[in-house]
Amino acid sequence: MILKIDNLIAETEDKKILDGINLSLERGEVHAIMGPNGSGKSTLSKVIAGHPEYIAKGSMSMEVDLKKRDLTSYSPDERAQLGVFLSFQHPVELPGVSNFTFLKAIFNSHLKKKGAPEMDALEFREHITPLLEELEIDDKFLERFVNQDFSGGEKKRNEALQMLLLKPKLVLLDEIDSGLDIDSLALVSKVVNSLRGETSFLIVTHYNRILDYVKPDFVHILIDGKIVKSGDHKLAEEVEKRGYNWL
Amino acid sequence: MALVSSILEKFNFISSSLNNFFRDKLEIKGFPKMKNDRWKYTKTIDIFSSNQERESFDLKANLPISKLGSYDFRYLDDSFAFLSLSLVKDIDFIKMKDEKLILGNSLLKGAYFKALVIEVEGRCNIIEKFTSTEETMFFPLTYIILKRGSSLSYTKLQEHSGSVVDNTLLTLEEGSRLEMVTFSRGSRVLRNNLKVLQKTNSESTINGIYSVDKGHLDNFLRVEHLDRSRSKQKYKGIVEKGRVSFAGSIFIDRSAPGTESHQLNKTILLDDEGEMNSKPELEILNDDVKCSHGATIGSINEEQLFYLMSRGVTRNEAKLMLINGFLNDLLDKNNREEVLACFKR
Ligand SMILES: Nc1ncnc2c1ncn2[C@@H]1O[C@H](COP(=O)(O)OP(=O)(O)O)[C@@H](O)[C@H]1O
Ligand SMILES: [Mg+2]
Repeated sequence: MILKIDNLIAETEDKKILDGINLSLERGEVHAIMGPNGSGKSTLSKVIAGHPEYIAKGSMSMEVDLKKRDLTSYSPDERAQLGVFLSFQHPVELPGVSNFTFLKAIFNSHLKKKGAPEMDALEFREHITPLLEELEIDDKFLERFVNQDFSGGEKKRNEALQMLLLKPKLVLLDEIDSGLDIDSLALVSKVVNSLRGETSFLIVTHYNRILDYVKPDFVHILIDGKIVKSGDHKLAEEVEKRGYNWL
Repeated sequence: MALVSSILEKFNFISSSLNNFFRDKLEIKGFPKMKNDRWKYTKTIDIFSSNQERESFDLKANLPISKLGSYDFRYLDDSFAFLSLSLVKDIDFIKMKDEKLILGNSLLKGAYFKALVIEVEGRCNIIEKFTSTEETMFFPLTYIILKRGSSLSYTKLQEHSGSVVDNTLLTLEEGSRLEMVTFSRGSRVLRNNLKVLQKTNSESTINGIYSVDKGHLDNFLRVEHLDRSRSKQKYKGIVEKGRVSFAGSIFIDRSAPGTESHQLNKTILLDDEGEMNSKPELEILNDDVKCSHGATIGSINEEQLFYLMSRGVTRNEAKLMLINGFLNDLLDKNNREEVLACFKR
């Protein structure tokens, strides 16, 4: 089991947002979390990645190299080193930091952790080029400041690029399909499908656009911070037809 | 007044006619008083509190220094500039044309007074680096004249520990261009008086970067547009601990219609123990000008930190990357390495 969450509660100072979540992902599985706006989907993915703004109670563990780790005792960067990757619903802009510098730094942080030699600019450019091609991203993209003045689609493709680069074990995709044009959606889905099997995915979405491309093994419906129903991909189709009110 | 004469006596007044002239000026003006708004953050009493003997040092420079030059000090009005001129034996003079000047010292220790005049012609480059120990008192006066049509790139690196009042006066003659960047760390007391006077069609870009984790830094900047001219000032810095202030004063004379002047001061406070004060001051005697100013004081953005950390970068490295990004527009290939090395320390 790559991820096991038991009775997870997440709150801010004045509000309980997640109210007792239970979730288990086996290695290579794709789970979808669906729910209306404000139900707590982003909070769930941020809490798994270790966002400091939420007080989390309950247990979250991840299996790495056949060892079970208590995620709650790791900082966000340590979780990333364990293999957690969060694709942000709203990727953050980093003014003054070039995308190249950023991508090289995040990649090298993983090499360093492994004790492997870090890549210099030349080596890294060679390394990133095929990944840019795979996502049909222009070279010039690297010189721009991270996410600054990127279109919605560019931001999401940049998230997918980082995912390809870091080869995580557990990927949390928070609304990767929103703000994404049809071509980008197809590309990103292709990347997700290519990693499927090795990598486990938690796909968070409030409608099932991406699920037409990436067929989930399980679907969970999140309402008001609780998983109210779980099922297979047919549940997503049912939600598409009937909305959330019947649940 | 009591303070002025006791300081002059203590530091062994030699009394040439030049010295006498400035001694009179200093005695009339006195040192800045507590209630002087422009000296709100740097107290005279703190500057003189260490008990040091007067020392002299020879300026290290890669170009010849002469003792003979022509000076016109009518634009000087600072007490500490007068102090230096009351006490120096000679004024150093450097004339440069299409040259690069590297100026500096080995670590200063003692009390020092220094006056230097530089005349710039053609395209020149000055890199100045002074360092001092904690017990040092240092009062450098640097007067740079950019002759007609000349251009100067001027980098001032300040890694002081002592009490320093740095007076730098630049006059930009017709059509000349100045690009200046000052990099400062906190010191026991560090006060910068930077004054720039601009004549017709001159252009200045005056940048400052500060990284302060202890002590005191007071940047006082005044740009005077005497005729139609342009200036941009951007000061950015990181304050962890210590007390930092920035005051940017822009003066546009009645005789300078069409002048453009833009000023920005941005600070990131890394810690509650750091203090930042920022104050613009505009004195504009003309309607036909373009002028802007702004100041922000903020902290490191937690969402940006989380974004970087969620990719595997440690908190410290993430901070460094964000600081690098914050300063990016003031760094170039000449100063980037040196400046960033200071942040890693
Ligand atoms: N940091 C926070 N502080 C206060 N309230 C928050 C915070 N983050 C989320 N919330 C609230 O929690 C609820 C769930 O938010 P979110 O997880 O973003 O929902 P979703 O992603 O499903 O749209 C919303 O009502 C939101 O306003
Ligand atoms: Mg959301």
